[in-house]
Amino acid sequence: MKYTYYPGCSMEGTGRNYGESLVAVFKALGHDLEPLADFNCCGFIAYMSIDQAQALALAARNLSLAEQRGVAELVTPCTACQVVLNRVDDFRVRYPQLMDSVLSTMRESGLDYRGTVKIKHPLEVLFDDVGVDSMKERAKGKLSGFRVACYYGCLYNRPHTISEEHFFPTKMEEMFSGLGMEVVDYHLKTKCCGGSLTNTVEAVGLDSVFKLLQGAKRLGVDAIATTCPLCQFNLEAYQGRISAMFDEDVRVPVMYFSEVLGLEFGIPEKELGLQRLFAPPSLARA
Amino acid sequence: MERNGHPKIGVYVCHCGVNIADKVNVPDVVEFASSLPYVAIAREYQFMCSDPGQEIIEQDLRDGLVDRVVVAACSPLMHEGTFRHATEEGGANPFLYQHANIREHVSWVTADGELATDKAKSLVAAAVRRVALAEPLERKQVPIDDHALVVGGGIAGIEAALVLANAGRKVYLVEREPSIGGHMAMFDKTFPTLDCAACILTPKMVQVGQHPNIEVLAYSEVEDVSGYVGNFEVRVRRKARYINEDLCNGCGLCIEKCPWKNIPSEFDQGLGNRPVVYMPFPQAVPRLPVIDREHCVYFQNGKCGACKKFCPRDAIDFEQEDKIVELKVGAVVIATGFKPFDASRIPLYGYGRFPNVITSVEFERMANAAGPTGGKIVMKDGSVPKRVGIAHCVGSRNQNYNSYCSTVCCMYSLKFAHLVHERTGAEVYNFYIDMRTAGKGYEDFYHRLMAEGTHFVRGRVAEITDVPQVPEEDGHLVIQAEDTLIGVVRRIPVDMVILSIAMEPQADATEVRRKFGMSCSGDGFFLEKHPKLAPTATLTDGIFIAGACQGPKDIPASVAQGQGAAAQALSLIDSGSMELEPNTAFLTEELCSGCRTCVGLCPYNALAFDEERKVVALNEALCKGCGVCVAACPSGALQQHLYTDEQILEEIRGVLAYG
Amino acid sequence: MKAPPFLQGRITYENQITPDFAAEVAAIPGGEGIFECLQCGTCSGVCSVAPYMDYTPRRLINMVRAGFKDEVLHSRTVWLCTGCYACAVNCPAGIHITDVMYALKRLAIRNGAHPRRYPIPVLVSEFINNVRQTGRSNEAKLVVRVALRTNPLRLLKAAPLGLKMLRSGRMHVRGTRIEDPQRLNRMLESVSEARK
Repeated sequence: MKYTYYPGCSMEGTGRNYGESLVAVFKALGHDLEPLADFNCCGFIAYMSIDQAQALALAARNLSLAEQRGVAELVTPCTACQVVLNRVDDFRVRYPQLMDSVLSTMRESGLDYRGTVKIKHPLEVLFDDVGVDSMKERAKGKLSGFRVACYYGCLYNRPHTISEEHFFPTKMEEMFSGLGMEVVDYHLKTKCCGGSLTNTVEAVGLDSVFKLLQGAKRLGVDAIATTCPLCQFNLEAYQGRISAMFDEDVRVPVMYFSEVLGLEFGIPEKELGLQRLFAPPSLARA
Repeated sequence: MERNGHPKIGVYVCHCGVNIADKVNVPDVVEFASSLPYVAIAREYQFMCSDPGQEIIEQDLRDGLVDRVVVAACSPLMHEGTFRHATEEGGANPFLYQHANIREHVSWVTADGELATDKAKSLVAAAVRRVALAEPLERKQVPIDDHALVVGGGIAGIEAALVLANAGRKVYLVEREPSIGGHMAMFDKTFPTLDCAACILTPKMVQVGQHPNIEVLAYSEVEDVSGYVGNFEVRVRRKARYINEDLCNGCGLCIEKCPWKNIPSEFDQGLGNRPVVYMPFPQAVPRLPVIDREHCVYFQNGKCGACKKFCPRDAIDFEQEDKIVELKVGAVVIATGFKPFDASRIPLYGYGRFPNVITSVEFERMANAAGPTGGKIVMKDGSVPKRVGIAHCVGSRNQNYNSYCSTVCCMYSLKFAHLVHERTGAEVYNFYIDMRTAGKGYEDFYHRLMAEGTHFVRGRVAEITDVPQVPEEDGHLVIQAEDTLIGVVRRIPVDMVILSIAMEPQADATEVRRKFGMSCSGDGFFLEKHPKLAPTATLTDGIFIAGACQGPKDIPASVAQGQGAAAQALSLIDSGSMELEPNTAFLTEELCSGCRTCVGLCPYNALAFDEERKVVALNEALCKGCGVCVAACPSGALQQHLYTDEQILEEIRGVLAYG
Repeated sequence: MKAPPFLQGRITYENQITPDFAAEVAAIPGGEGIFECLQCGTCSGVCSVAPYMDYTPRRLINMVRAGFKDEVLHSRTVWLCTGCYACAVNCPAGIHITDVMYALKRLAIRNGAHPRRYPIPVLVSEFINNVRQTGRSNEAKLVVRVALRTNPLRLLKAAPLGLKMLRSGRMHVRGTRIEDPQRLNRMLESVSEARK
């Protein structure tokens, strides 16, 4: 089956191996993952901080493009993009006057959006549509007993959630344990990593990351699996500095959940972009 | 219209102070009314419902100026009765009266004065037309059965039953659990006096059990209700205990001898175990055990049967079946209580994940001397806590769960703080949003707890976690909340957390209220007839409600409602008979084709088919005016007094003719 | 009117606050629930960055309600909010707190209420420029420009990480653009026009 995905602006940069591993994993399961052509930046948290109506229009353009191409389910790997895109439909319900104004103006620019596109995270697509049983067929047992902490980040299922509890989602754990890995009880799994604070107000950002790493390290894991490019980067990129700052070694391998899946399916590391990781897992078992 | 000769209709338009007159041009309506056919007199007055207002009607009738009355005023719910009475006082049949609602249906809901006046005129025109076709009717008297039914054996139900029984009335008390007592029987101490709950409750329970006028049907549920006020027919299922009540003397040997003692006790909230044959608690009324069939080895594979072997009175009866009893009662008091909120619905609080996060009901069982820990306040591993957190407003005051305040939690949270201080010397932290201590002696109780050195943190608990951020937190539960009065986020390590959970309607509240024909309010609790003036009556005559099933409340309020509802039931029963609206059906034989559609539909068996004459016969004495046959009759042979087709159609014509 | 000197700073007089600020915020889509805030503090309690804020989220909402416009718009709080929605999904009064924070960010920018070199609003404005020019956002460019405008020395400190990113192929230097950024810009402009 062909899925269309919304890459977001980090796929070509920090999230490059996220995109690579997702495409590889979907292909291994018999599905194609194709990017939405001519997509624009969703606006992240930045645009909403300047202008509400424009921010909604910016996001809605992508939905309009998807709708025009008959895409019913837009797979969105970055959880921040997911929230921003979801907000369009959310605001249509909550603030119809505002959205009417935005959407009718967009219509004049040839960008009609009627609310038919559903935003779905690839984790949910794999869990709900493809199914763990289907994935078990591809499992090679390469990560049997792999201890993993599932870190969803704050925006995976907040504020919109299809079926997961806001603070303690379980789909990643169910998926991994169904494939024979050992998932740990990582209670910090939706605590915010600080987002762009690591770049702007460093002290706060690094402290947030430290708490997350410390929590995982104490549980003794082979890796933290993430669902968002910014989270993954924040968790992996500053480990040395943080360990020094807080006088505690919190170095832990951090990868994307799709890379974990890819390894389990026996996909070559280069296809998963594993060489791009700054804190790669040790795969002695494999 | 000519059927009733030449009626002389009097139309009286009320100002209702400014309630109607502010919007509706009353003089204009009066002028319009006097132009209508058959209207002999049209008047207006400030307050028609007042004595002088009613006197106007009565005088006109006495003077022979009018013989039928229309009053255009407020809702008939308010004063239809008043004006029917005035009509009667004036010497006419009270049913030669029609009420037009130009307040709730016009002045209170129409913004434009002209439109309002127009609408008022059309409603008056309709009422005039209808009253012209009114017939003189006699109210029917039905006897009131002098038995009462109380559903629910908690404190409210117990109090209601005692009031009724002491007045000499026979009361059936139906209780779902094996023993009466309700939630109050689970508690340790009660606020603000710190009375032991069992000590004040059990004498009442014994009184109920021994009272000659009360028949306790415990371990029973209401299955079906039919009938109407004064004459309810209630079918009750008495569930099989597998114990012969007539033989059992409550010695408890079977319980002692039962080898299977590891069933989680429902009464102890799962904190302790009970045997398969058990009594929920030692002071149970009735003092009869019950065999839990689901877990009983004898029922599973025919083995064991120890209880039967040891029973000195041979009272164990494995063949026993559920029994159905049919009760006839005149009034019902529903006192079915509440359900505690399921705290696992708030995952951030860790209930179910952390063994030492417990609910208030669980804590009551722990603190109770007859409970699973013998009254000791301990953690799951048996050790005594040094620091205890109490979280207020769990599931209450929250749009995500229940938006109402559960009323009692602040007080019982203070009570818990006191018990923890007293028995363990631990530090106690109460996390609250507002302190609601409004009852008698409640504010003093709050001061007592402040003086005891309770740590009050004004801030709703945001999260309970076991992930430490500093070494001191390691191995403890940590409560994170903002101390709003100081303005900082605090993390407080504790050993145990008590969640002060909301009171919710019972899980089967919808089913129960449908059986009795009650409504519920938005939060699911049973709906009272009027929130201020009739909190224990319902919109269904003869059904009263009391206690937590009407809304969260404490024991004094439940008792007051139980006693109040019983008093209302008593006043109904003691009046001996009730007048029903004369809206029974009547039959025009010539129109009956003998199709018999109506016969099977009548819930009161008031219709029978006459084989000889090939038409249906109606027994008006049995008819209760439900209207089903009238609606079903294809030829219109069956009509309903007060609501004949002709009357209704004339009313419609009145509106259309004007509009 | 200045407060008498001996009371300066101890009493807040009504003419020192902005009474219609609350209504202004409540009128913004997302802000409508603020009047029903119970001040329970759940938002502050679950907020992952509340401990670093000058005013906790709960306190800020009360300041908005009371009309303390200057203090609110000059606070660090509105900028530290990462938009994680922990507060909004937990709020017992159902207030869309995250949307309120976004609204306050916008008001702060409009009122010029933040220090010129404060990194977060700088990041916001650089981000917007990038999007308006190309229809996309380039991470590398963003990081560099923010550093240049706020603290150029940071670039030196970040150089090793930058190098790592370049070598691992995770730094996209060229920057992509959508087919017709101008058309996007015009559309965004007309959206704002229509709102006036």
